[in-house]
Amino acid sequence: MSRTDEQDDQELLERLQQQMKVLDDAYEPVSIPSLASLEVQVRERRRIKRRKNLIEMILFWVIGLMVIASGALLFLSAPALYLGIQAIGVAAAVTAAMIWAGKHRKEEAPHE
Amino acid sequence: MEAAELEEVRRAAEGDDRALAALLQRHYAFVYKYLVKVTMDPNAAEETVQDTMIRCMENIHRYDGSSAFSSWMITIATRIYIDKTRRKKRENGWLDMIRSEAIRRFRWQFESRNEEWTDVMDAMTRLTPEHRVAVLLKHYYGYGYDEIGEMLGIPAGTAKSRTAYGLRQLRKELG
Repeated sequence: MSRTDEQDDQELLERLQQQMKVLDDAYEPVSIPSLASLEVQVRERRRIKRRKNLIEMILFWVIGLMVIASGALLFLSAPALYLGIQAIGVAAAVTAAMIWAGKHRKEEAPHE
Repeated sequence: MEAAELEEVRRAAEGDDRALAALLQRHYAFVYKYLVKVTMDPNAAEETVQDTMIRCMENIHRYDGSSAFSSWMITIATRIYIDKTRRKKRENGWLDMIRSEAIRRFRWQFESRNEEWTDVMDAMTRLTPEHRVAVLLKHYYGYGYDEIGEMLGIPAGTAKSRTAYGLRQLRKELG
């Protein structure tokens, strides 16, 4: 980068910083929530989150037990089918991971 | 971070509602002002700062104290804004029209406060949100590329190239 380019960049950054400072000074939030109202919101959010976590945990255990029970039943009654399903599942997961990684790289590329 | 704030954050993470409310209230204006510059739309900034507060309430236990609390909050605010923009882009073909309407409104509001709408402001509104955020975080807030990368969930190299591209675009606009 030549000396003039560097000076141009420096000048641009100074103008940018000045203008953003003007924005900072010109805009204030319409109203900042009071401490009491924020506290009520925080309490309410924590209550909702606790409830959500509890429901998720119950669902996790119920579904988990059902899956394990069905897997065990299938393994005992038809072992070959069980192993086939396991193999297909692994292959599908690996394919999905590769597709996802490919897409992710493509999304990032335009920003490079 | 100051020891007093660190102590307040620790109490907030442990479930002290008052400590968390105080932290959020103290950083409200800072996050709002950051979002005005990022969105270039005070209405969107107001909406996003409220979403940010809620997200912070829900995720306070994830804050590990490795960066300033304000940095953690603007990381959340940025991600919410970028997600919203991407979602709107997918859902709404009219986004460009809505966006230019918001910028016209912002300009009108700004000028009605007797402030001059400069070509720098104009150029900033033309950057994509991703590039505007990178330029602001680097050249106004003074974060390093590693920190910006962490905030945006991208590699430091990508943060650097986004910043450089954003500056190049600004220079081109200001011709």
